[in-house]
Amino acid sequence: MFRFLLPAIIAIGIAFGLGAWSADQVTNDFRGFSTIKLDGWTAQLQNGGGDTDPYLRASIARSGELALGDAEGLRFTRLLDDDEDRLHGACDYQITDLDTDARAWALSAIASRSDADVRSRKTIVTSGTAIAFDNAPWMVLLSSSLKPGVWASPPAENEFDLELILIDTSIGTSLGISTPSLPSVTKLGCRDG
Amino acid sequence: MARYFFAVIVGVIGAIVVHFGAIYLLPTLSANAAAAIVGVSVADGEFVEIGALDNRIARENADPFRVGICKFDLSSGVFRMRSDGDVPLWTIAVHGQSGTISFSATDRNVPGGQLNLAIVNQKQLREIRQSLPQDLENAVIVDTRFDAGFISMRAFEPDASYAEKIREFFANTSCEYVTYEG
Repeated sequence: MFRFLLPAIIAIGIAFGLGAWSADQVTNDFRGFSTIKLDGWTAQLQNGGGDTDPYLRASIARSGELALGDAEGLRFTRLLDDDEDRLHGACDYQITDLDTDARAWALSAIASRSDADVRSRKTIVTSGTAIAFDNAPWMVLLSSSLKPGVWASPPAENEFDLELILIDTSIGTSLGISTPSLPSVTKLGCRDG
Repeated sequence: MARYFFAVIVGVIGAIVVHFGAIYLLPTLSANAAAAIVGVSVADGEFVEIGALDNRIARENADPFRVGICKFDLSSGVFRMRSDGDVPLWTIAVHGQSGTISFSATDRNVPGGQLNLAIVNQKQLREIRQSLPQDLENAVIVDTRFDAGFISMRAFEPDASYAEKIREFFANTSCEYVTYEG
């Protein structure tokens, strides 16, 4: 009997250990297969609909996020700047205007998921506040030190993500404006560290 | 040696089963899921602004949208959500207990931009089709495949000057059960 005990323990250990670890990893880093990419931003189609990708549903369930319905809009995120470097609080960025048919939009910076269990977030600019800018198209400087012009500080000293919520948009459907463009994120420089 | 090799193969196959089991069960079992948090934080039939809740969904979904939530259980009757007010933009989504959204809309999708929504299950839909209750005459009827869940309403707050309008809009939002002769 004992000659089968150790192999059985190995099999059970691999099954639960590898199965749980892979599920944990994939729901932290992967947002499913129904992804669209636009100008360095990514969003998941069918955010919370009945046909939602099970990986996206699991990832949303872990985060406490309230999914957006198909009719509500799309939530775009980006982790990298235009040079494909990870967004970091020690660097300064220039964020430029967008061209979209969305009725409303909001651009926020959020502390990295690995940084804290519940992430701090800051709204940088919305379709409501952007109309007050004198410079059209607008441009925002994201920096941890004060800058002249329209300026916002990042939400964390370490890595952070950008989130762009578009409400009532045709992006991702067969309708809509022909060439929507989302904000570019250009790194201007970084402090030591 | 062959026994151990076989054990590893069985373990890897088991890991695939555990992996997919965890992925499919997480929306129902995760304590962090919005539905789980709403389940313990919001009373049945009560409309609550999540900013007033000290929990994970309040912190993960704050700014620049104000979000309110109603929890429903259709075994208590047809669930109606109504609101009245003048805000730049609102949206709603009907969520099941596993986080799946069965219906979503914006203010442009409903007559007059005023919310009057009745959530029904298949059985209730058959009953009210035979005799539409007077209370539901002007309501948008939404047939949902879940018997319990919650409705989230987002109102866009372009800047702080809209805070009072949105507060009034949420104050005028009601969630209640409608009883009728079945």
